[in-house]
Amino acid sequence: MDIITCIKEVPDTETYIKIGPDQKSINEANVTFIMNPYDEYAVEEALKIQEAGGGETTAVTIGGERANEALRYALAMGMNKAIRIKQEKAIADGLTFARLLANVIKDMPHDLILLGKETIDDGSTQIGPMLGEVMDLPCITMVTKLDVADGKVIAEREVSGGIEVIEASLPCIVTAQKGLNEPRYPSLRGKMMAKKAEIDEREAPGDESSIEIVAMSSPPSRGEVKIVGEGVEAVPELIRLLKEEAKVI
Amino acid sequence: METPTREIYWNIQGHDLIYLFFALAMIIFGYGVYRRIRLWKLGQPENRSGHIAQRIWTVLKDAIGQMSVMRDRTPGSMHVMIFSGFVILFIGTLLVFLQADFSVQILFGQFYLWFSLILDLFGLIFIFGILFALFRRYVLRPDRLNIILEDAIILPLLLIIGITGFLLETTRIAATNPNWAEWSPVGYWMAGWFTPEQAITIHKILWWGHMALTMVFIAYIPFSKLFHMLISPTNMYLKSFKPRGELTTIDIENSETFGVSDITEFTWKQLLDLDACTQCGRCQDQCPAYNSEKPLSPKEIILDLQKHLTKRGYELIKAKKMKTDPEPKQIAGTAVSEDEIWACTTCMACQEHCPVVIEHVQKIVDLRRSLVLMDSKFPQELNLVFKGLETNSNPWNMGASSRADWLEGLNVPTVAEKSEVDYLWFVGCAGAFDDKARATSEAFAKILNKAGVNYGVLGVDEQCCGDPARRSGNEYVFQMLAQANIELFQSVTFKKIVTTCPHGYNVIRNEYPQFGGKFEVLHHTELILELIREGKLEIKGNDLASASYHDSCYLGRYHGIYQPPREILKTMTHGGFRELKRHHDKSYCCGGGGARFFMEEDIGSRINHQRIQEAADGEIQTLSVACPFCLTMLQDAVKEKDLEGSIEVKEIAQLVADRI
Amino acid sequence: MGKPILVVTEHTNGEFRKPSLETLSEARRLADQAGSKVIALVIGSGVDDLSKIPSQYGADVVLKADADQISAYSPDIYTAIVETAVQSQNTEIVLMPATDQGKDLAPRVAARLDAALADDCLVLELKEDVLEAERPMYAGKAIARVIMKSGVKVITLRPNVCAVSAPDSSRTASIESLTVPDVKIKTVLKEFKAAEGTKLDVSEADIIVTGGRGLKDADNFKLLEDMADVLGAAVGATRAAVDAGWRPHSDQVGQTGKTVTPSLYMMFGASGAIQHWAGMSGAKCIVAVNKNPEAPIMEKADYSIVGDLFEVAPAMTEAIKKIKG
Repeated sequence: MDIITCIKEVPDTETYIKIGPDQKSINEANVTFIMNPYDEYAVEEALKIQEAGGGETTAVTIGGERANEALRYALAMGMNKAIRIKQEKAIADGLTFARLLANVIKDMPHDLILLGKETIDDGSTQIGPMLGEVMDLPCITMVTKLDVADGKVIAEREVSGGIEVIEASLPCIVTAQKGLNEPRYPSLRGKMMAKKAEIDEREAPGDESSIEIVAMSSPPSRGEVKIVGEGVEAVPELIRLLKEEAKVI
Repeated sequence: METPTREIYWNIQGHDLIYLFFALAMIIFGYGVYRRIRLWKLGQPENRSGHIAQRIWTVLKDAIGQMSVMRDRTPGSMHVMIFSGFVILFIGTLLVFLQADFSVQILFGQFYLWFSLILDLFGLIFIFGILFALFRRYVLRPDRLNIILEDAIILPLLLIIGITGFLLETTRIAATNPNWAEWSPVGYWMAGWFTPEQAITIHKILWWGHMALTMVFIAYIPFSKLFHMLISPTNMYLKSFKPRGELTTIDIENSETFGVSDITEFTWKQLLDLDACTQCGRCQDQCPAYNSEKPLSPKEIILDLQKHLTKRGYELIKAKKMKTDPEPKQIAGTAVSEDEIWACTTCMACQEHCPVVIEHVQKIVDLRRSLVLMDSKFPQELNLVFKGLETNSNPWNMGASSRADWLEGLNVPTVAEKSEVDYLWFVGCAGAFDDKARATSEAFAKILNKAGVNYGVLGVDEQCCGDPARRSGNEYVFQMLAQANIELFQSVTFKKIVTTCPHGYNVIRNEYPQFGGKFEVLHHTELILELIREGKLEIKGNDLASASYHDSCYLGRYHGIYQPPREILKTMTHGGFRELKRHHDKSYCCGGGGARFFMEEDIGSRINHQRIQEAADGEIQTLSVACPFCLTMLQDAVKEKDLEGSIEVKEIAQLVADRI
Repeated sequence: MGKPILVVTEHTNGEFRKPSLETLSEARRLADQAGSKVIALVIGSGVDDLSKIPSQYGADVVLKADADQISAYSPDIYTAIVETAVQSQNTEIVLMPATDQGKDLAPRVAARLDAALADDCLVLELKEDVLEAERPMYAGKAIARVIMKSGVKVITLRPNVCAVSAPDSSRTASIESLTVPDVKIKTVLKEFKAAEGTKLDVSEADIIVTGGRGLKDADNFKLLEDMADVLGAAVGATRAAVDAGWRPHSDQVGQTGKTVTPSLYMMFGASGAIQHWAGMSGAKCIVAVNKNPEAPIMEKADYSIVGDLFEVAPAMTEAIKKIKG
C-alpha cells in the first residue's frame, strides 16, 4: 500500500510568539520549529499501516530549506522517502497549498493520503478536505481510529455527542486527530540515517495566494493575572469577563 | 627432650595418592576458571589500568582487612570468622606442604607449638563462623539471602572439613600421645574419647575423607559462589577510579550500535563483575525499588545476568565454532525485564554497600541506552521529556524563551549584564520552571545578594544539564545538551560554578569533562556554609524544632557531601536536630532519580510516600532537603498522605533565606 | 448594492444551534452595512417549520433543501447543495459557524468554488467594501487580519464570539426550495455511537472543567459535571484526583496524562503543579478557583477567584446557564 503523508514545519507554539517589524508576520528569530504535531499522528499511522501490510511511505511538504528538517524528522521516524515542494514564501490560503500538493501527489502512486487535522501555525483545518475536492477523493477528517482492509477504510471520528463510523474506498484522504496513536520517538539510528538521506526537491510556481494578511497583532497578553475577587460575589464578574473579554463562553 | 613436631602423613599409607587427587582437583579447577575467563573475554574492551598503588591498597584493606564486609557488623563478623579461619588454616596447610614436599623444616619446636595453638584457635573460629552462617541462613532466614542448593552444599562441606580436621588432630593425639598435646587444646580435650586402637582406624578413614572433601572443595570453586574467593578481590583490584556519578560516554558518530542489547556488548570488566557476586544481598536490602515492591532487585539483576552470560555466552561460542550465525538475543525482555530496567532510581545504594565493588548502575543505564537509542522502547512518559529536551531544552517542554521568567522582579544579574563573575550560578530546569524549586532559586538569590557574592546566571540561554537524558539512556540528547552548555559556559568569564541541584552538580562536575568542559563546581550548600564560616552570612534565629535532613542520593552517596547541609541546619535548630532512621550512606532515595521523577510509578508502593512516612514516624516537623527533585517528591508525598500540618518539607536555601 | 451573503445553518432536534443564530445575526449586520441580502440555507429532512425561523434573525431569503438522504450531515451532498445555492443566488460571501460540521464543510465548499477560506474568525469588518476578517494564529498567540482576493469568499465564525440579535418576528423572508442534486457519495456514515451521557473526551474538548484534590471525593465531581453539561465541556482531572480513584486515567490532564489546548480551561481545587501545567499551559484562557491564594495556579491563571469551590462552582454554573439561555 502506498501511503503519502503531508506534513508541515511550524513554529513550536511553546515559544514566545512575537510580531515582526512588518506587523504582518511573526518574528522568526529565536523560534524553534517542529513538525506540526497533528502531522506526527499521520506519520505514525502511515508507519503502522506499512508495518502491517508493506508498501511505500512518502512524506511531502511545502516550504523553504528549513522545512527539510520536518522531512528529516519524518524520515527518522521511518518514512521511506521525502519530497519538498519548494516555496520560499509562506502560503496563506489553503486552496493554493492543496493544489500544490495535489500537483505532486497525482503523479505518484497513492492509496492513502494522511495528514494532521490542523496545522498549529495558522490554526487551519482546511487542507485535507480541500485536497479531497481538488483530487476528487473521499476525505474523512478528525479521525481517531483507522482500519484499512480490502481497498476500503473504516474510520472513527469523534464529534460532539459521540463517534461517527465512516467508510470510504481507497484511494482516500484521512486527517489525523489526537488520540489516533502515540507517535514513536525516532531511534538514534533513524536520526543518523535521516541526516544523510536525500530529499527530493521539486520546483513549483510561486502562486499568488488568494488570502493576504494585512496586519498581525498580539492578543492581550496573558501576563495579566486577574484575581477577580473572593467567593461567590466574584462569580458574576468572572462570567462577564469570560464572555466579553476572553470570549470563551 | 623430644622436639615438638609431628610426623606428616603419620598413619597414612599410600599418601602419595594425594598428588593424584590434587592434580585432578586442579585440572577441574583450572577448567572451571578457563570456562569463566572465556566468557569474560566475549566482552568489549575496557581500560582498568593505572592507580596500581591504590588498587593494591583496596585489596589489602577490603579483601585482606575485610573492611567493606564489616560495614554490616553482624554478618560481617560472621564472614571475618570464616575468612580468617580459612586463611590461617590455609597457611597452615601450606606450611605442612612445604615441609612435606620441599623439606623446609619449620614445624618444629616453639614455632610448632604456637603453630598448633593458633591453628586450633582459628579452626574453632572457622567452625563457629560456619555454624553462625548456617544459623543465619536457615534459621533466621533474612530476606536478602536466597535459599539455593549451592549454599546447602558449601556450608556443610566446609563444616565437615573443619570438624574432620579436628577429629584427625584428636585421633592422632589419642594414638600418639605427644607431650605437647595441650598446645592443640581441642584435640587434647577430645582425645580421651578414643582408645589408641580406635583412634588409628578412625584416623586413617577420616584422613582420606578429609582429603577427598578438600579436593572436592578445590574443584568446586569455579563452579559455585566459592569463586568469589578469587574474583571478589580481583574485582576490588579492578575498581573504577572515575567519580562514581560519571557514566560512560558513547562515540555516537562512529558507533554502529548504542548501549547493550546482547550480553557480549558489556565490557569484559562488566562481565567479570557478575562473577564477583556472593549473593550477600546487601544491595537488595538498601534498594528503594526493591523495598517498594518493584520487580527490580540489584542482586537478582546481577545473578540473572550471570546466568544469562553462561547460557548465552556458550551459545555464541558454539555458534562461532560451528560457523553458524547465532540468532540475536536481547537481554531486555529475556534475562531482565523492562520493568526492572526502568525501576532503577540510580541512587547508588547498591554500589555503596556492595562489599565487592560490583557496578550495578552502569549496566542498567547501558540496557536503557539500547532500548532508547536502538529500539525507541521506553516508558511513554519519556516521550514528552525527550521532545521537551530537544525542542525547548527542558524536560517539561515549556517554552525555552520563558526560562528566564523567574528572574522578573528579582535582583539577579545575568552574565550578559556582567562581564566577569566569581560564581556562575547554574540554575537548572527545576529552578527556572518548577514553582517549588523557583522558591529555592529566589531564596538562594537572596542569600547571594545578602552575602555580596559576585555572581551571574545564564538566563534564557541556559539549557538542561542533561541528567534526565543520560540517566534514562538517551545519550544522544544528553550530548547535544552538554555540548551546548559547555560552549555557553566557556563564553563566560568566571571562577567557579555553583548549582542548586545535585544532579546538575554531578553532570557538570563529573561528566562535562568528557566533552572538554572542565569546571570547578560547588553545590549551593557548600557555598552557603563557606559564606557562613567567612562571616558573610549571619543566621538569625535557631528556632527550628524537630528538624531533620534527608540526604539526597546525588549529594551523599555520589559525592560524600553529608556534612555541609547538616552544619547549616544545625545553626538554625536549637538542639532539635535528629537523624532520620536511614541517613548518610543508608539514606533512602526520594524516588526521583534516574529520570524516574518524570515517569509514572504504578508498581508497588510509592517510594516518596515511604520516605515521608519514615520522617513522620520519627516525629520530624521540618524535613530539609537540598535537591529540587527531593523537594517536589517529598512535598507531593506530604500532600498525598494528608500530612500537611504535621510535617513540612523545606529546601535548605529557603530555611536560610528566612533567617538572614 | 452588495452581492448576497449566504449563511449555511445547522440544526439539531428541530432547533437551530446557537452558533447558526450567531452567524445569521452577524450576516445581517454585514448585509446592512453593504446593502445586500442575507440568504439562509437550511438543509435537512422535514425542515418546513425550521425554515420559518431564519427571517427572525435577519434572513431575507430562505433556501430549503429538504430530503430524506440529507437528514444528517453528508459532506458530498452538502457540498453540492451549497455550491448550487451559491451559483443560483450569485452570492459572494458564504458564512457558516466553525462547528464540527462547518470545519468539515467549509473547505470543501471553498475548493469547489475556487474560493479563499478564512476559518475560525473572531471579527468581521467591512472596510470600504473590502471585508476584513480577524482570526487567531499560532495557538491564539497572534491575531491576523486578512482579506480574501477570490471572487467568492468563504468564512467560518468561531462559535460563542458574535452576539445573537434579538429575534424580530415582524420580519419576513421568502422561502424557496432547492432541489438536492445527485452526487457521488464518497464517504458513507455507517454508524453513530452516541456517547454515554454527554461524556466528551478531554483531548478534543474546547472547554475543560478540571477538578483536583480539593474536590475531596468522587461524588463531588458532580458539581463539575453539571457545569460541563451547561458548557458542553469535558471534565478533566489532575493526577491527584486520578490517583485517589475519583476519576479515570483517561480524564487526567498533565505531563503523565493528556496534553490539551482548549479555548477555556477551568481548574477547581487544584494547585497547578508543574506536571499539570505542562499538560494544559497551551489553553487560551485559564480560570482557577482555589481556597489558597498562594497556590501556584493563582499566579498563572488569567482569571481566578479565591474561594471555596463548593460555593463558587455551583454559582458559576447558574450564571453560565443564564447566559446560554
